[in-house]
Amino acid sequence: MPRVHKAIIGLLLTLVAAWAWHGPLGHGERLIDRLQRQAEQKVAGTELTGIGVRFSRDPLARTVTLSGSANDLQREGLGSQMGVSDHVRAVDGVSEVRWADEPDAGRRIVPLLLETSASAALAYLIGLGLGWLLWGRRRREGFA
Amino acid sequence: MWTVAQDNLILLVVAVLIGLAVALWAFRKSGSRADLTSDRRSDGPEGNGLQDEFAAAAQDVAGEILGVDAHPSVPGPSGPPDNLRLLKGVGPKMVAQLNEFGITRFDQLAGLTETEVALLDKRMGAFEGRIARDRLVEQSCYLQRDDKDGFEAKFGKLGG
Repeated sequence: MPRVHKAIIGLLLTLVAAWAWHGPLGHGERLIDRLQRQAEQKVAGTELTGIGVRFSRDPLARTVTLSGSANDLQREGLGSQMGVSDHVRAVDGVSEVRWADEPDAGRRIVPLLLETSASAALAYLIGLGLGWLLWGRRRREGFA
Repeated sequence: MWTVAQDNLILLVVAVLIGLAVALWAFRKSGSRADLTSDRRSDGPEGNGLQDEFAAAAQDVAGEILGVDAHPSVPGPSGPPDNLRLLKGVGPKMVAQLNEFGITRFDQLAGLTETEVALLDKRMGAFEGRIARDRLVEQSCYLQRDDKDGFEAKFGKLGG
């Protein structure tokens, strides 16, 4: 079997593993649940009432959409004073913050499955590269 | 982002391991000596197992004691002569020496057992020990298969 086919089989196996990790094994859901809790705590810390926090669930994504009646100053802050968006953006793992009533709310999001698959594929390529360094390089022996 | 990487750490380790396993599967086999050995031995008249090695050794010792040539001949050439100068370390004089023993083709060299190599090497005069030292059997295994890429990968650019 050609090496390229073997490499493709390995890549497909990795992508299946990434999908299983994200979906059936529930790690994607758990990550978003955790981010949701942390984002809600941050919003609660601002003492603004009526602010909703919703992460994309279909597909799962690290993009959070905020809703509520906060004004621009409360949303984005001013100078060193952080707004609600800044507080939520500061949660490690949140990739993007949007407001439901703003025009960019409907923009396309990057699914978490895509991010997970891409990072797994990158790790696979690193492993493949290490393996090539270990076993793939042709060694010249004598008679140089 | 670091949170995501940490959350997926086990998956990433698994992916690296898959990559390593695939690399082992894809790369290691072609670089190993197993194929070379099996090719060589399948052509050789002896040395296919421990029993044959013992038999060959006994034959050699008996030959020495009785003063006869226990290995009377290398199998004759099966076709037109090859350019033995393609072998690394082999020049015209050594080719002439090999020809004296009836060796004109790569397949003859490739089929030599370790015992035969040792016997021939003793009789190579000025080139004593060169068959083993220059790994002519191994080189010939590649050239008899016309595997020039494999040869050059292992021994460097073809001579001649």
